[in-house]
Amino acid sequence: MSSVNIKEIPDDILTGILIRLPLKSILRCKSVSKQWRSLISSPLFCRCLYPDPYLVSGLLLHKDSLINKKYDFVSLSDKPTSPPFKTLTFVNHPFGVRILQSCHGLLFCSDYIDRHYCYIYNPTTEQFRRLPRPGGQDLTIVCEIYSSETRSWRLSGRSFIADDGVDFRRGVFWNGAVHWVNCFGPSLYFKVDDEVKVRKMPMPATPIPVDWDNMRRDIPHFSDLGRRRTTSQTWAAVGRVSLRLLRRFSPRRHQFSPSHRRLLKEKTKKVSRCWRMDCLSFLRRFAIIHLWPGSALESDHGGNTALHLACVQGNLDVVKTVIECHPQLCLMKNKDKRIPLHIAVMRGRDDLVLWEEAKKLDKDYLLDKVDCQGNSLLHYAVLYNQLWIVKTCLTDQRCGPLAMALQSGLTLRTMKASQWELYFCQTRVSKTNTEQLAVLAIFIGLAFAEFVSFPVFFQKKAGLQLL
Amino acid sequence: MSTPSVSVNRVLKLKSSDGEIFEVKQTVAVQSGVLKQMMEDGCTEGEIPLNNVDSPTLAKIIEWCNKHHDNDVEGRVLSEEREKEKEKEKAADMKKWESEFIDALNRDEIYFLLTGSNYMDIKELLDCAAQKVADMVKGKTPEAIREMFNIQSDFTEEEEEAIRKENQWAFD
Repeated sequence: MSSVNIKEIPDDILTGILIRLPLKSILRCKSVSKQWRSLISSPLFCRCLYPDPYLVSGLLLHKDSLINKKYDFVSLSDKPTSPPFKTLTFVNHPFGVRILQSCHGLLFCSDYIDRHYCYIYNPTTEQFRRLPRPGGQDLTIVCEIYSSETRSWRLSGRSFIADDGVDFRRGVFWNGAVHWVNCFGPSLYFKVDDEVKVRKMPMPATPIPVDWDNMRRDIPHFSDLGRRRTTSQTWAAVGRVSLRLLRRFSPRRHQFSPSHRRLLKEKTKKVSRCWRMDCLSFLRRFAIIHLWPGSALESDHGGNTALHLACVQGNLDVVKTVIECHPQLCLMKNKDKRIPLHIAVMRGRDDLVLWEEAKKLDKDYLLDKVDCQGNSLLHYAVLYNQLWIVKTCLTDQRCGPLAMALQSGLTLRTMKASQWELYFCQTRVSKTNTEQLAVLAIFIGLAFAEFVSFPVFFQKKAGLQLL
Repeated sequence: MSTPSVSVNRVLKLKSSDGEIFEVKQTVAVQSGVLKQMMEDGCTEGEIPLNNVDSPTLAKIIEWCNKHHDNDVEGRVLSEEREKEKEKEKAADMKKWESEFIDALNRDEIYFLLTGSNYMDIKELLDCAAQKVADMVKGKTPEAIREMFNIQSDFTEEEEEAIRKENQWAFD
């Protein structure tokens, strides 16, 4: 019926059609004819399909343990993508396999225990190949590159003596280079295309010890409140205690006016009826909103508003009520320039309401809000292992993927946790400095180190190529 | 505009492969990379022969370009007025028009449109047509694709089996 023979269609048009297909369809098209097969298998086609070879489509996160075999996937692309896999099951090892590296959509894996078996695995096509073990001695470090064509390892660049502090097992491939973080000295990177030598990453490093108690001191009366909650004595007389509580709670230690007192009495009557309820939260809500409608907007000596304090306590009810009445509080800073969301994250609350509301108010620069130490929300999220907010930050359309968030010139405060001693070093990411971006990325990985091993930057490139 | 030689009223004469002449405003014709280049080089006097494009296809291509040109002009005025909403509406309308335009074509016409727009270097049209074909191919078995495009398989049975095995997951 059709007079058209698609064989006549020039390759470039056919390519234009095929790259619009889902991957499965493309692979199926390989068996249409020899012309189609050779077209699809060519590197040129692959380049058309993924024009940016260094585009990272997501992070693979893995909680480092023998039992846990599941990988978490944080998509960094604009379109929501499903995780390439949840577990690695392509070969059967007693303790499973782990990912050592990823590059161009391929994963370099080894068995979990002794790294005796190495594999290269293409999660897209589910193909894998066992690799010969790379060589290498202990003291000198050499870079070896595995070639899929010759199926062998070859030396690349000069060998060098390893510095102390560099964990060469935890390199991260990013922007065409492998990066290794060193928490004591300069970090290193190796550009794979140059193949000349390992270079040092430019990194200002001024370790500042962190005052862990600092945060607690910011908000003295709340730690008190927390303790008080458990003592039954405190609740012996609701009226009295609530008055005291309210006084403590009141940002500027207001003198109660007669009308306030009257109101308070009414409220506390209600409270005593709900004796078995969580009195504290009940009172707090009244304290902020009902007793002094305006007081929610005031702040205490630490510059904390009611919302800050509610975040510290982590009472979602109160947070919601305050936001309903005074949404602008979401972006109010305390003396340390922290917005409530910072505090919520620091305290380990996954407060989506707060996030949504703050984003509504300031959709573009929410991640730019940094406190007096230069930490942004993302930093705190990383610091306190708030995976949800890192995910939200990274995947949020407006805040954009990782790179976008950083393009805005965020001040970085990167960290490496080693046995609860924290070292900070400050660095500023410029729009173009991809090396530093990489550093950040790696540090994010390291921050997860307590819980998650390290993220693998998964690039979706080699989808079609055979190993 | 980087084409100072383009005047609003000037008209190009395009000659299709079967000898029919089409008149197109210069401002419309800039959508074609090839014609734009020719205008910049100043060699658009007389008839411009388009040997790879037959007259029905050329008519379709010109219809497309005219529609997009109209939209462009209106769009510019609107953006000055900052009526983003309306702009969005316009874009949706255009999308609708595009899909109706492309859906009305049969397979052969799409093929000629593809080669024609490729030849004349009209990226948007090429993209639209390619997307349409891709939608037609999506999810089909190799056999169905062959039938659809009238291709004879040049694989032996073993070869085909080997490819299938290699990419097993795509056939599941």
